[in-house]
Amino acid sequence: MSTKNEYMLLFVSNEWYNQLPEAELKQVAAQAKAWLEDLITRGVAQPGNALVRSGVRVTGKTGRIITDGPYPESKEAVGGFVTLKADSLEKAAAIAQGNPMLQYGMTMEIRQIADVCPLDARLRELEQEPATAAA
Amino acid sequence: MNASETNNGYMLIFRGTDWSKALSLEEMQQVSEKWMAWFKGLMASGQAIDGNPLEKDGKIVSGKNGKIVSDGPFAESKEAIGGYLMLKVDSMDEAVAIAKQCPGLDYGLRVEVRPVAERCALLKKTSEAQLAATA
Repeated sequence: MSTKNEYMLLFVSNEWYNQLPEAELKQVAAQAKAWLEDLITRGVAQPGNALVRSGVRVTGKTGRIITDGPYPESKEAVGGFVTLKADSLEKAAAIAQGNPMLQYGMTMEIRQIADVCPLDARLRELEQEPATAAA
Repeated sequence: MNASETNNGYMLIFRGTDWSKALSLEEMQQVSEKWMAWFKGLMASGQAIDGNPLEKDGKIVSGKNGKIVSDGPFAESKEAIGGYLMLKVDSMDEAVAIAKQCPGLDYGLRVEVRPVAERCALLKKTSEAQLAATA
């Protein structure tokens, strides 16, 4: 497991804020801002970035295919992220639970920043097993 | 996409954490070397300013008040985020051109390219509403 105490907090949702009446919008914006600013002031979070809803996907094993995506209505789209400092995944998740935007259907994905690319970690495992690798 | 928005950089999101499973040891070594060279080249030229792999086992927080904390995402998912790269280039075309060079694409990895937003969509929406109200 990674030795780093940094966690990516991904904000995953559709554009729920487009549906809210103005008064509610102002309220949740103020709450969200306060929540984040508090985390940043305490040194728990580093400001990350919001992402523009449109973008493209690049795929293709032979040649490259470019498709539009993600779709703005998608509940699975990443809207932005911040980086957290925490002692464990559970503690990072506990911090994420405080996000006021969760009540609008947003989900938070919490992932630890890895020391090593998982591909390299797997490679090292295989390289240490000469008998299995040769099979 | 709004062409008049200021350029705040681009994020490459690497999706699919299972793509290297079917590779032979030799193929894995090749991809690993290619990826390292690609990443180092981008960092050296200043086209990339940050990038990290993410540990596979994460958490998903959802529900009102963030009540639901579950393990996730599923490693087999083609959408699972394996890592990211923050690019500092002049246009979406450049960001996509870089994305097309990702060595993992040849093995089924998908790369999502997203412009970084000037500000969080929720805050943007709130200030738009405020402007409209005073107009």
